[in-house]
Amino acid sequence: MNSLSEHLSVLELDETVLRRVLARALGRGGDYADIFAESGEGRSLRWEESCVKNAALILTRGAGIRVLQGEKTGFAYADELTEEALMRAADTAAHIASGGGVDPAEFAKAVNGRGDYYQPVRPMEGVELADKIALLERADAAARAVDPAVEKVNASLYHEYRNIIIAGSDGLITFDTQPMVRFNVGVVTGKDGKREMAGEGLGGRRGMETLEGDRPEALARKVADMAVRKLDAEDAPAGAMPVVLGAGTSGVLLHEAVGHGLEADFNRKKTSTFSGRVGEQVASPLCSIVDDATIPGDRGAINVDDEGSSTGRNVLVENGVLRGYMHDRLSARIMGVERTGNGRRESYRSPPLPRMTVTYMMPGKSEPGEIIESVKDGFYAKSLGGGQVDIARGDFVFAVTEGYRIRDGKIAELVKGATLIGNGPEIMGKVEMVGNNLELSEGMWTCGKGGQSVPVGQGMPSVKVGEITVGGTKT
Amino acid sequence: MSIREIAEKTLNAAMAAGADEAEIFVREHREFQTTVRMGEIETLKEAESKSLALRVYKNRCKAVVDSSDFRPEKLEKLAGEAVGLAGVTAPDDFHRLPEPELYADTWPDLDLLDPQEAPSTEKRIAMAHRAESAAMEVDDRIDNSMGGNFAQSHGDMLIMTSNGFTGGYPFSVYSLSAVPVAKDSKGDRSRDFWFTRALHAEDLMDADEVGHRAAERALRMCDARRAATGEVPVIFEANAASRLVAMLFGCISGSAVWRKQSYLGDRLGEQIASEKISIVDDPLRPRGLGSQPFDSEGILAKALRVVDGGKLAHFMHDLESSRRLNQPVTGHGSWGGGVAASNLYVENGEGTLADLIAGVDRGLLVTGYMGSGFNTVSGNWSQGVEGLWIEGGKVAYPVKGATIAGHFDAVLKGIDAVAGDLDFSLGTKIAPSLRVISMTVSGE
Repeated sequence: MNSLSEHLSVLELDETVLRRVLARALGRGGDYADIFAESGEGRSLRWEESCVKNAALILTRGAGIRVLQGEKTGFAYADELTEEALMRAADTAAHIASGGGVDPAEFAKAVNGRGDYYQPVRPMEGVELADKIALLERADAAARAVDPAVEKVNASLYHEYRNIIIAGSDGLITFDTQPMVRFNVGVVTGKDGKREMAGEGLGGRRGMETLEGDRPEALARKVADMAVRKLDAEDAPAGAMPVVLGAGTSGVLLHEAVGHGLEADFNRKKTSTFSGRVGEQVASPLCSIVDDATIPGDRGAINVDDEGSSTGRNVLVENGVLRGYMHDRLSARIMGVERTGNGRRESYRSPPLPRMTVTYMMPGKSEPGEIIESVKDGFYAKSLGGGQVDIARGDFVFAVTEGYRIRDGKIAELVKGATLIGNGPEIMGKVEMVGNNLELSEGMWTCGKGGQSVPVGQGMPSVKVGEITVGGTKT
Repeated sequence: MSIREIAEKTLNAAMAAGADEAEIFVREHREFQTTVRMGEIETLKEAESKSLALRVYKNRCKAVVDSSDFRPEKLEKLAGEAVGLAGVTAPDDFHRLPEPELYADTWPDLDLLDPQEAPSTEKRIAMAHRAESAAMEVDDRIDNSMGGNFAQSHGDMLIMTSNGFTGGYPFSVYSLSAVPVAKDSKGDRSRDFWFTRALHAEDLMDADEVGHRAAERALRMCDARRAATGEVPVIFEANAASRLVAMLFGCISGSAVWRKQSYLGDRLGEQIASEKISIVDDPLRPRGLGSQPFDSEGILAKALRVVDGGKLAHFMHDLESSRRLNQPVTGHGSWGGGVAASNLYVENGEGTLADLIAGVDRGLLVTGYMGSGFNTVSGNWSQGVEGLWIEGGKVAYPVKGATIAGHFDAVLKGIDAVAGDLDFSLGTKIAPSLRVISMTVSGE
């Protein structure tokens, strides 16, 4: 769907209704109001015990209405898209406003500058069911062929699309259709009374083409191989030591250590460790970090944010110097800067917040091999899982899903999963080498904030950090 | 349409479309939430919504649909789609409704709905305001805040199955919290929170008390240091000990067991924890945060002693896992799929948190977590924590940026003291303060 009228017709809305609802929302006063209407469909197939065990369909439809006045946000939503239901929600959202009604602007005929960052070649909606099931079956067979220790293989395929319309009282009305596909494999292995598990996914705002060739098999083999090797993993070390972060999934370090702290809501409230530090050195001069919604087909890419703002590539840190924050409409207005297109929400049931899109570190000059060779005794975090950050202090953690000891400049034994913990600004100051091998992670990252989950992307070259605390058991 | 009409209409449509069996869950609720920050309303959210989940079975094949689209013509279409989807899945003998004799036919009133009129919007805003300002007033070092928050939800739910079960109940839940930010002597910020949650408004902790506790927690973390690396006793204050119960639940859920995703999968009847540990799931506590008269599959709820003196007595099952493992049903089905606990708690021991601390010469008191690093399959645990360092039986100074690690089996068996401070208002998976004889703490 490529026009506003098609989107309006799917949602059974028209511009005059939207304008009446916005007028009602601003009926008591307010600086701005908007309507975020959405209809989406998600489908999943779950493979278990070597057959399709479950098929699911998820339908989403509704609208959220928001009124802003000063730093206040009034918000309400409705599952029904009738004028009556929207008017009720508008009245509720208006509760925070005072000072007298305001008229919304006429809708401008030209829509906002939208990107075009996802063009599925073979949209999943058109793919035959049998072809989808074959992906799962092939992954299962490939995983089972890896080793007799493979006991259980799970796989799932999920795809969705979301049609959204954002109508603002500033006269901006825009729309988007956002596709997403996700293919996951999980393997449980057992040997000599020990048991292990590994799992990974791939996908993005793409179509069936992302699962072409032997990609399902390759993913399944990788996961099964990891679950087999983990059976013989040694105990992880405990204590502070030099750490090399592998390219790709280590982007989660940026996401936690820096990214969240640069979301503008925390900074306008001065609750972030990075508050008031634009222009200051906040990381080693080797570090340049961007948030970029324009990576084609990435899970975190968006053509337009959930407030109708244009998205783009925003430099957060340049050669270690903090350049700016990620903004939604509210924070940009209060802090008196341009919007950056980072206003995102989980669904019509939540108001937007400043959120990341695709966050990564620019490549440096070091060869990945020489980075490992430079460490006498340390830890190689090849692959990372989820993490968390305490915004106020900047302390963060993340889970290592594949980690090795480094001894005498060489990658040594695989060790059990361990948590790495550190302080964002401190760790970023200790970045000693940055590789020339930037990789965007294909992992299926989902970021949680304020109870809302949104899909994000991340990437990283190989990076050496002088010291991080490794949370193993071996002292 | 009422939720009963929606349930009947959709269930009938699924049967008419050719389902052998079907079950539906419909829920409606009205939610309200407000955050007051630095004395001003920051957000106010209010909405009414419904949700629906339909499961259909045809030739022992299963499909599930979820929807927030309640247009009548769409409900019928949805039911038809569900039956079509079931044709895609493989037959499985475990995919069928409960035998009707398993259904609850009468159930107790657990007082899950507050009969009093909900506080006015102004009163709700005032409570959030009070919780925040009480925190701000405690000490000058508290110079910022992420706000006071008040939330409430009132609703009604209904489960209906094609083989004879219909049951539902109304519910309410309130919560109030404060998140103050303190600035320490080095200018570093320290943030913490406290909360209260209850099904009835009258059971909420006083807003001043919420604010004061939040402030005390933020202040005690000021000027935190790094911990030393080593093996020491670790105490979990009650609020943090809850995490251990949640982790254990992940390993005794029948769904994890049949999928071989639990290190406890073949340990039924064995000693899995210190003999000081007994764990009960009690869905029938009046006004309990996790209470329910029957589970999502219509099976009558009853209390279950899952761990008795450290011995693993039962796994917790939904219908599918009890059938797969050929074990008795326990009434722990959930609509999200899989197994859910109700009020799962470690029984009280004796004494106070201070008594536990007094017994430690050098160790760590865990008061909060960062991240999650538990592997249910292997039992390995590595976890970011913050807390208070203990020297000579007393709290010495706050520590941050530390991890604790160990095998969960050794952690549970190493519990050498259980306090008597269990607090049911802390959540649905809870424990009194616990002491573990030794874990690896990693810091400097």
